[in-house]
Amino acid sequence: MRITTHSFFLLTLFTCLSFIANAQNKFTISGRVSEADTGEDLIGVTIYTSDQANGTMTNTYGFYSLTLPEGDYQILFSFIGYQTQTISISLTSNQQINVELGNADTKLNEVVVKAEKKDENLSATKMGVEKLDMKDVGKLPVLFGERDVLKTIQLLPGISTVSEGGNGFSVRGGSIDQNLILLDEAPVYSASHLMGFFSVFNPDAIKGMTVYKGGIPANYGGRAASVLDITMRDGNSKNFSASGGIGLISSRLTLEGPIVEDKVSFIVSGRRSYADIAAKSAGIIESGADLYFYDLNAKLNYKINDKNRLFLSGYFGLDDFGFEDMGMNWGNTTGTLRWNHLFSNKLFFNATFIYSNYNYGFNFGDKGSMSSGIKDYGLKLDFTLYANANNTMKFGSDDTYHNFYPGEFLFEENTIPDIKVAKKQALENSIYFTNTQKINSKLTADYGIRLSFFEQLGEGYNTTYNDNNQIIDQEYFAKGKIMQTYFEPEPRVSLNYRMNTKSSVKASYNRMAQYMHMLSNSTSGQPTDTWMPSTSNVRPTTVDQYSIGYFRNFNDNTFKFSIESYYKNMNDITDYKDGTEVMLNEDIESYILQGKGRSYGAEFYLKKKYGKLTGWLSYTLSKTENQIDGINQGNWYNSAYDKTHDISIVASYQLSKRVSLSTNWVYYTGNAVTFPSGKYEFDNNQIPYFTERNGYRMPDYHRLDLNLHLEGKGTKRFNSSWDFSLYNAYNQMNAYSINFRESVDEPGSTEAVKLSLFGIVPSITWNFKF
Amino acid sequence: MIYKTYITILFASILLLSFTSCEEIIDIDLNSSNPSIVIDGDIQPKQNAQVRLSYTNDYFNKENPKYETNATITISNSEGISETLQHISDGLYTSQFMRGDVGQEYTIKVDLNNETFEGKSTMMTPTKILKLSQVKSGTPHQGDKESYGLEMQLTNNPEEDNYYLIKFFKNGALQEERYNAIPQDIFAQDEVIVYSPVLPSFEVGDEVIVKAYSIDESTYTYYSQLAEITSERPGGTTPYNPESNLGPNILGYFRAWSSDSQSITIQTME
Repeated sequence: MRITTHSFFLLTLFTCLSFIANAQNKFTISGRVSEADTGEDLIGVTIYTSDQANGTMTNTYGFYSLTLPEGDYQILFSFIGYQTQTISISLTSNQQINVELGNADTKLNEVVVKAEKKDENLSATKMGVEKLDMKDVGKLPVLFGERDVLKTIQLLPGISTVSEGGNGFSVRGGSIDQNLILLDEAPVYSASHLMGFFSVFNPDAIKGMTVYKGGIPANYGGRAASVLDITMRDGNSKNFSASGGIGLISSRLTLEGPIVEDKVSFIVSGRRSYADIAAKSAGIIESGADLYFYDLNAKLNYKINDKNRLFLSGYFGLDDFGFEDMGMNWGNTTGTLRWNHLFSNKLFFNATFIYSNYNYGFNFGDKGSMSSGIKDYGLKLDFTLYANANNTMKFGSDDTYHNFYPGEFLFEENTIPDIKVAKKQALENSIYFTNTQKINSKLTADYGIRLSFFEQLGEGYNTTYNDNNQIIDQEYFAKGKIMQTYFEPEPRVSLNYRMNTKSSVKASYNRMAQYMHMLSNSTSGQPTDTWMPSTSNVRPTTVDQYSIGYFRNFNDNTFKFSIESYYKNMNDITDYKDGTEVMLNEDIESYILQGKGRSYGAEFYLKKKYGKLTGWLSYTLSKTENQIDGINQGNWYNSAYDKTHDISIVASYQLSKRVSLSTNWVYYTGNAVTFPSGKYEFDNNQIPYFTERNGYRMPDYHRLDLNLHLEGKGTKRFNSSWDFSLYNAYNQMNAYSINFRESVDEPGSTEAVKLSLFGIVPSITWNFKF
Repeated sequence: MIYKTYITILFASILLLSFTSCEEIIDIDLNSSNPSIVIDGDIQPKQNAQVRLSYTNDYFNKENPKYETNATITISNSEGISETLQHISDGLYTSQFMRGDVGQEYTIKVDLNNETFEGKSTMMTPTKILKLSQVKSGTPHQGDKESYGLEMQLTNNPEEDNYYLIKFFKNGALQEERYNAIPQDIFAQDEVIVYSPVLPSFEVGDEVIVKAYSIDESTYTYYSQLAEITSERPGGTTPYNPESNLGPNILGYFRAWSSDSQSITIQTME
């Protein structure tokens, strides 16, 4: 049934589009843009005519297509950090032009490089979007010398840190489970190592990423707040190379190269931490203890011919922690197989098979063991039609089958019954269509719709509960039977009005639906978080977001400035009744409370992209509140993700050709938290008395980090560099948590205790490449 | 539940082992709230019922709380016998005739300023601590000191839906070091059960008094919630007031329970 809906939809589109595509006396240039040294596809390269009247960009696979009227043109290919190439063509027929761009750093003093098309940020309709190249991430100072993409995006406006060191982040007031994190199109359910202090993304294996916090295009869906789309590198298709680094916490090694030159290439990148080895030798932990993580990224790409390419990529990661016979481990596995196909020079197609698995386990020695997880199988079909110079259309489908394993606890002792929470299954199907249309020289629009269907499938029970969480009715569904369905239309619109050569105004609206809910008793994210589907008792979360922004460039593009403001209505966000046992609770649905939320704010962003001094300044002023019946007497209260002020300053200064200094400073309002407004005596103890949800604030947080990067002299074959970092350079003891307890020394009196995790943390890393 | 304790320990240990965390007592401004009534009542076998009525206090106030002396409190058992409690002093009311009896369900009713609060609790079969011994602890520790856990054998009535609460008092302290609420689904329905908690752990020389309470399901839930909000868990749940059996949004609890106690001095073990 669903298949026929899909086919019909796609067929109709084809028919409509073929009319648009048949324009007269117009020809198409198309091809791929890659890096000259490695053959890596370049994403987001701007391709435009010398008069800047027409232009396009390469997609995730380096492909572009540009249709122009017959005539003579100078076509420019430009990308930040690379030399711009100009190609003169006489367009009298369709042409295929593949371009390789040389790295600007390696060929100094040749040409003055203008890194990208002027005012790119002004002409694109996209707002609430930030692209990060790994070069931007690389020079920033980070904790224990580990570069981390998730830490870097938290320095952008509208994206805030949830807890110190942690990788859980909140986008425009959304909760951490509302972020869709994709690694080569596969969803990553738990993006952290070591309890959230490191992200699972090995920077050496990553090409770049794009984060969408507003105006989210219709080809993405499934989460309510944001999309973080991370692309893995394809591997050097020209030469074998190895790179790596040795740091205090972990070491990493990447091998890449061609298997068949310019046809088949691979990359394998591994990382392992050895905090446990250091801690053992220092006598901090016993020899029986384990504490480490590792991860492995691998990708194979095969250029079958100009029209067909295959990519196979995988990620495997594991954290292991244990002492004596007890322990825990958790990890993600993802895999994607992609097939790129060019139906014509205007129609690009990609099919993706997706596998994603996350699980964690506890081992309690002779007492028992526990495990939980989620597994997805997905198929995505994506078409891009470069219809003409004024219209680029994307359409396709996205189908995912989810298996939820809420968990089981197996007791070693046979006399104790095991706890097994019933598995759940669900199917998520979406179809989408979106068009980017240049309406006139000043106005561009991006409009589309995503239709999402959700089905919870048997085997299982639809259970009806009374107010005391007791079962009053149960209906059984056999395997594969539909237990519950939901449907949401998700319209997405973005407009860009170009006021003049220096400034533009943009506006957008998007609706997002989320059919999966994270079960967690912390706001910051833990490996023990589990997922559940929407059910007959738990409705999907939907969000409507409106935003408007003003963009301006200064000093011939050296500075970019933007102000964006947004308003979000959130429906059916979830929380729990007081005292809810989240883990291994068969009846968790009856403990879930749903209500509404609202978030609004303004984001200021000033970025300097060129020169010796680069970096950005971001400031976000926002408010996020929730109203859920059953919490805070049904009154509105500050969300745990409410941060009034959030400031980041990021700067990098190139002292000489080989030495650069970088720094970042962050300041934000403390999280909204629940503290006691009184105490009482019970059973000879002093018990805190709580009156208001999230009525207090943690102390404001601020921190300065520094990094000195030294590039080795290097030879043609071997390059090395050093990074010296200071995390929390002025040793600010920021509060990780504040606990209230009865004084140990003075029973009967009470005290507040602040726990801080990190003072100043120096680190050193040595990197190499040959 | 019991696995939660394990997980808490694992998390705490990871934080402890991984990072140089630092604790500091700080000054913090907390709001005052209107005083709310707190009902703390219990009845034990062969003893009079006791109910203390007090009011909430500012969090950092070091003075004794205000006590309520003008309430009318009655207690009744499942046989329909009831008695009005007498106010003794400082908000403490006791029964004169009614004493706890195993198997009875007790109801207390507190009438105060035209409001009535009512709660029930059942006195389960008392448990006896048959044996209390020390075992090497599985928890990680810093430095050279060995840490030890306790293992106890408790009598159990397999016919009952019963729960236990274990309190640990260290070196003569009046406040418990910690208490563990044990749900019935983790022990076998045998006449003797063995319980060996991961926490608390002790060092050589510690004198530990262990009190084992036999409790009903609702009391177990209340004490589990109390343990959750009073324990220090980094990144833990949003705190709340535990759910009383005396009505919604009421502070305090009434329980019928019994206890047995034993002590042990931790010694070096090979």
